[in-house]
Amino acid sequence: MKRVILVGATDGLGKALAEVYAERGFWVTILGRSREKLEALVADLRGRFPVATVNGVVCDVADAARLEPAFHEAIAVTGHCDLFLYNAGVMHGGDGVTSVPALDAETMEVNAVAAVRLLGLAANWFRVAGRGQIGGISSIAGDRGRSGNPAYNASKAALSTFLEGLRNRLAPFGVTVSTVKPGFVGTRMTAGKPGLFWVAPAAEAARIIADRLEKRHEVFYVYRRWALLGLAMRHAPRFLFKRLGPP
Amino acid sequence: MSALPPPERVEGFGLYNVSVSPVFRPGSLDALREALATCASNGSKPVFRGAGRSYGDASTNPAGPVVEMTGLNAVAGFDEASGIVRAGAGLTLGDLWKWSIPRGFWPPVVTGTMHVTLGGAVAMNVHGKNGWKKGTIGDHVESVSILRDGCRVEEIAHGTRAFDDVVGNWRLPDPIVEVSLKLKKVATGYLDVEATAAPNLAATLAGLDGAKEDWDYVVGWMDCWASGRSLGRSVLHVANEHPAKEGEPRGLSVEEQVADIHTGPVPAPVLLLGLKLTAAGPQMRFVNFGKYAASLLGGRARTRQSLVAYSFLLDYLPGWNEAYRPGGFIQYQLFVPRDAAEAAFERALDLQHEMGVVSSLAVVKRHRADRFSRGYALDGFSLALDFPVTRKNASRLIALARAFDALLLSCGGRAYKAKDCVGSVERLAAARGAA
Ligand SMILES: Cc1cc2nc3c(=O)[nH]c(=O)nc-3n(C[C@H](O)[C@H](O)[C@H](O)COP(=O)(O)OP(=O)(O)OC[C@H]3O[C@@H](n4cnc5c(N)ncnc54)[C@H](O)[C@@H]3O)c2cc1C
Ligand SMILES: NC(=O)c1ccc[n+]([C@@H]2O[C@H](COP(=O)([O-])OP(=O)(O)OC[C@H]3O[C@@H](n4cnc5c(N)ncnc54)[C@H](OP(=O)(O)O)[C@@H]3O)[C@@H](O)[C@H]2O)c1
Repeated sequence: MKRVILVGATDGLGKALAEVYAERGFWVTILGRSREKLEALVADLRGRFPVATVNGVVCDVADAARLEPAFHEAIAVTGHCDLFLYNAGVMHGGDGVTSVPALDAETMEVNAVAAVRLLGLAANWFRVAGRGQIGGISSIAGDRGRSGNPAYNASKAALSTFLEGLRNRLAPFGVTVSTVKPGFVGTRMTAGKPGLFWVAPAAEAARIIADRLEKRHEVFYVYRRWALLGLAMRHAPRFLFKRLGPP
Repeated sequence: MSALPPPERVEGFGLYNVSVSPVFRPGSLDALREALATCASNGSKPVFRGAGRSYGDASTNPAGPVVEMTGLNAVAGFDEASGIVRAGAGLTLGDLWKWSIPRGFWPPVVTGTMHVTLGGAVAMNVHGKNGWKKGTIGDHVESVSILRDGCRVEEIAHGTRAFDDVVGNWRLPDPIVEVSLKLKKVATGYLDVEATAAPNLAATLAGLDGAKEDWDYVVGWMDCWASGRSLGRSVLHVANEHPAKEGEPRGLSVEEQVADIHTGPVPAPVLLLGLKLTAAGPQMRFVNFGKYAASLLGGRARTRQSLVAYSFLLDYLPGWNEAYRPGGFIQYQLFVPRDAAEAAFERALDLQHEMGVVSSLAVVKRHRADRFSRGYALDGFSLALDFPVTRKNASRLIALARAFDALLLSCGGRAYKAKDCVGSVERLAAARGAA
């Protein structure tokens, strides 16, 4: 009976999450930038899960002017919202040593700035509603800056820290804020990348994430073993990070 | 252009549906005009709200402002001879009966709570326990006044097409500001109530049907936990006005009405305790069974009860719905044509058992066909169910509600917006529109 709004969920993990919630019979409203992909996904989910109430709202999160109207449209079609989850994200690969400012800026825009805008609107809504949950799909990548993709690290660091602030702000109002650091998930984002391990299939990751959000966990990984690695990464001394330089 | 007020939490009575909306609370017609002008200049369409006693999303607005009409609650006129009272749409039935009972009048149709406004009652076209004999509230409304296009007050008389468009219209573009309602003259403020036990569904429906001509008020409290041969067993309460007798109090004062709360065939504390326990789960089973057993032991018990005690029992545990936080609860009321009722309700009970989500309190009523085109009541029965929403039952509960939708579609039944928390009314309309 939860009413869920998923931002940027027409592919990968987000799409898998939409499927999990639709399968549970819930209200699922998906924000996506591609009308075509969005309509196809909504039609598919409606067909497979007639108990659920599935809607789509077209929204390219890189279009700042579109965010507020899209947020209100999403609330209106969903009726109300029990979980607002920001999933949109981009990761531009590169040669690992050259910054491409335009791409870095887009990474910051989609992963962080738009997230701050939308989650801020959601936070205001939930504060007044006095209940519910906000979530963001952040990343272990946001725990440290690394040589391979500093902008991606920075964008996820911003997202994680912003979510932490919202968590503290909204706790007195009965609103839970959850930061998800999935670990590797088998999606377009990771396809063909070397050196991956503990890769979770998207459907499995989505189910685990949905369950742990349901239990109102605040900061979590898909597989618990990532917590150990995360701890080590967060506390590894600078010199080691420079030398090993996990990308 | 004046700004909208800051947003607030606006909830349905079931606490599951919520909106975050700017809320206007006009205390006069001019303030209402101003509120509507502000909405218009901000390009937003308001939803009107009475006392917020609809269970679901009828008086919340996910897309904009809410205009709460309770401030327009003056009694503007009364004609003793005809019993017609003219009052602001924000007047509640509670305020109305307190005003009318000393004058020897009682509202012709009352809901299970007195905290509903006249405007909300008309916009939903509510029914009472006398649905067979008295229909819905629209049948007793002489006229309504609407604030048309935010400026002029237009009175609309019963019997016109415009009237038909207002009664039961829960998304009116213009607010109802005044209602003229024909009250019922009563000799006393008491009812003679008879309680009997019906051992199964067939007996429940036959009992209600058989009583409908001889009794004004007819209602069944069903135990949804009963199964097998006892499926659908109920306690039936039928009631008629208690005649005035020499030397007996007439009960036409607020004090006498309220004094009676703790008497009657269902001891109020038992029922209310049961409600509190609902949130906790299957303990309710014992409360239901206890109620049934008590009525069996009592045989055909006749009691005198005040109109208020009989009609508004639930109001004497203020805030009982709060027990259902944080998830809230939903209602589902199935209206089913008479001949389809036994099979449909049997299925509705079986579905609850199959899915492991069982309503703790169920109310069965007999209705006559609604006379308004937006009506939901039909010549048949209704079964009102309520379910707490929890993390554990959520998926099963929504599947159950959708199975009820399908059941109503297949038997020509209807859902009722005042109780709808999950969009069933809209889904049924869409499915029927598509067919
Ligand atoms: C304990 C309990 C028992 C109940 N028992 C019954 C029962 O026995 N029978 C029954 O029929 N219902 C019953 N109800 C439902 C209730 O009667 C209806 O939901 C009724 O409409 C509530 O009136 P309200 O003033 O609270 O209106 P709200 O719930 O605030 O609004 C109801 C609808 O009316 C519209 N509205 C309200 N005021 C105006 C106005 N002035 N102008 C235009 N539109 C307006 C709203 O937009 C909304 O669509 C019960 C509810 C509760 C909580
Ligand atoms: N995969 C991993 O191993 C991993 C690990 C940690 C964190 N994450 C994070 O998990 C989230 C989901 O990633 P994924 O692996 O599922 O990647 P993905 O398959 O590439 O999906 C990314 C999603 O974001 C949407 N998106 C991107 N830019 C957008 C924009 N401007 N407006 C609206 N939507 C936009 C995409 O929309 P389109 O469908 O239109 O492309 C797509 O639905 C991301 O935030 C990612 O950073 C992933």
